[in-house]
Amino acid sequence: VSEATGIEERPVRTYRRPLRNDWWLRRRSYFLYMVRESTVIFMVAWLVWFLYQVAALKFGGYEPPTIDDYAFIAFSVVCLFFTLWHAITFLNLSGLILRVPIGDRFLPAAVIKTVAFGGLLFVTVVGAAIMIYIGYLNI
Amino acid sequence: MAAHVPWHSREDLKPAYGHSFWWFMFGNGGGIAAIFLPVVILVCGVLGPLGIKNFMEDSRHFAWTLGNPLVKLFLLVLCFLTFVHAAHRLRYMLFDLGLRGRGSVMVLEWACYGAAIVGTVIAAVLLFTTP
Repeated sequence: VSEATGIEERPVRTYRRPLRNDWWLRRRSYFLYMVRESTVIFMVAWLVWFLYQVAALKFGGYEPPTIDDYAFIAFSVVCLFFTLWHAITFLNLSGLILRVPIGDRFLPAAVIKTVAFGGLLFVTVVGAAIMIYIGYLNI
Repeated sequence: MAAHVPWHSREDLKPAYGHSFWWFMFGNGGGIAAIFLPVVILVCGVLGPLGIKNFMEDSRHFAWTLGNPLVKLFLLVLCFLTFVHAAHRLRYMLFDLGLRGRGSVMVLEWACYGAAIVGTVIAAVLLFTTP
């Protein structure tokens, strides 16, 4: 019994609303959330393929993919799609997450998002140019 | 009335350093993967097989590119941060899908973060011993 209130004290019992495992199928926004979470599977899958190519180079069995490798091209297109999905959803949040102080105010979220997407565009154009240029070098 | 306890001495208010470390790596991994991974997949995975030359054109160009320590470092950082980012997301995704038991969460954490670390070690060994 509590000395202050005179009421009998019992262990607190909290109600936990049961959550079914298919909760993410109930709404479109929940489903899209789970799709966003699963994009990492494709990103990792493609990096594992890349490391496999590095291993093939190391052990002497490297053969670059050609236009006849339909399955690999389809795999890469799917991985690229989900990687871009990750990139767009992740960089869209950058304005909300990154707080850049300027005096007693913060840099507007729209500016941070513009810089983030500008960085993606810049890296894509410059990176692609460098990677393609190396292919044309006389080594 | 309970005696006053400074916040830094309270067990229930201590910072979760482990969680903050993985969340920090998750955030950085997400950003790095979002900016750098699309172009690598686009050039090597799609444009390359369609006939546009790139650094994976043949074993000579591939080996020459991987011979640069900065390229090795870039690829290792890309792999490491992407793997850790993926581990963190998968850990919470599987939790959302029903793996919520106390024991299963522990197993899930060890499996996800462990796989990310093992993957990074394999990547480091491959990248720094090739060509």
